[in-house]
Amino acid sequence: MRTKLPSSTLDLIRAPDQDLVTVARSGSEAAYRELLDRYQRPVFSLVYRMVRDRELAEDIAQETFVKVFNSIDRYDPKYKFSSWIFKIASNLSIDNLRKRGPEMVSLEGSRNARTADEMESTRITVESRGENPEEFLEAKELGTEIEAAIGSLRPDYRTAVILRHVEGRPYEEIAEIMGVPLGTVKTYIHRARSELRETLAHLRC
Amino acid sequence: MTRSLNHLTDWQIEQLAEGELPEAERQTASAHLDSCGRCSAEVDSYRILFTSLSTLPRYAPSDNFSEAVLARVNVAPRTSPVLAWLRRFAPTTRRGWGVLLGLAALPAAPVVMLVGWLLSQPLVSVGSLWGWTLAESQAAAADAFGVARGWVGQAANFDFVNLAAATASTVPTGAVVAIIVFLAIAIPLSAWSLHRLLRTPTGNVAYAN
Repeated sequence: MRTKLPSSTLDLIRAPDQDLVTVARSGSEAAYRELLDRYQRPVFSLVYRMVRDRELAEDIAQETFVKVFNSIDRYDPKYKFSSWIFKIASNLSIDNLRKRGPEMVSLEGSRNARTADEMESTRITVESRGENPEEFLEAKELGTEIEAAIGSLRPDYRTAVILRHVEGRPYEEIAEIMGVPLGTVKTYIHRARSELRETLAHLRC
Repeated sequence: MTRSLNHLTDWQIEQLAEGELPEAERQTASAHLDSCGRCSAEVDSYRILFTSLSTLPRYAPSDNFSEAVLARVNVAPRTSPVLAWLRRFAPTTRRGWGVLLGLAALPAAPVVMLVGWLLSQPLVSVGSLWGWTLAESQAAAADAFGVARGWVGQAANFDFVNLAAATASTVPTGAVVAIIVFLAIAIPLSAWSLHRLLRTPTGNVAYAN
């Protein structure tokens, strides 16, 4: 039996991605906005951690959504919407990294920044869930170290480990997103973890 | 992924730390951890790493991100209802498309076989076969044109008014009412469908395309 498609704002918030896509295809701006609300942070975070430049990450994340939305009629509901959007985001990020050539790891701001303001606005800031200033500083330092360690991984390891451990995606979905066999994803993640442990070894108590 | 005779493999340790090790293996692994400080420490180390990674924040794009995206998106309906309905029957896999193209190409097989057989006859050449096909096609087209012209001529001399009056007198009142009701429903329905199809997007946003 065909289920009723969501129409009110509340319905849209509760609707699964597939239904939202169907409503969006019929020309509902509210459905597009709901998809944006759901995915802008995960997509932007993935891209940001890949390219480590806020301005560039904004451009790539925007391009991702524009590509997805403008070809939404070609979306195959057999696959997860999240897989599709992450696939486009990671492909665009990796394409950009390839064009840029060898990277420099910097959490202090974009290497394209020319002024102190630009450095500040492009700096990766690490929030903390710590309760007091001491905990906050500790967590901030730890977060910065981890972000730097992630940034030092090669792009495919980085994508895999971010999707697995930051976004919490299952291995099968990561394989779908990256367009590689499941075994390859496991290898990427295993190697990424080994490198991370090695890089962060000095933090162990 | 090295394997020691006594210790857990690296992958088992990682799977155990993220709670992904299958139940059967997990029991054996847990029993091993009780007596192996080295593997136990490795599992703890991975757990700390995974927890640290999972608590990293999700970054937010700028405040005008949504508007900037929507300004470049065509929000209007993408496909007509007819196309959307037809798309449901379209194959979704390469194999499906292969079968469909195969079925579509099937009628070509007897034609190819017939042409091959004709060309194998001693008195038939490619030129003669082509000339015959061309002459037959021209004759068939001329015949069809003649028939169509005859129909048009007949229609031009026809007394439509008298025919309509004669037909109306024989049609029962119930049928006339049914036709009127049908038109009363169908016309607004068609207009509404057309409106939906051609509806311009709403909202205070500029659209691409």
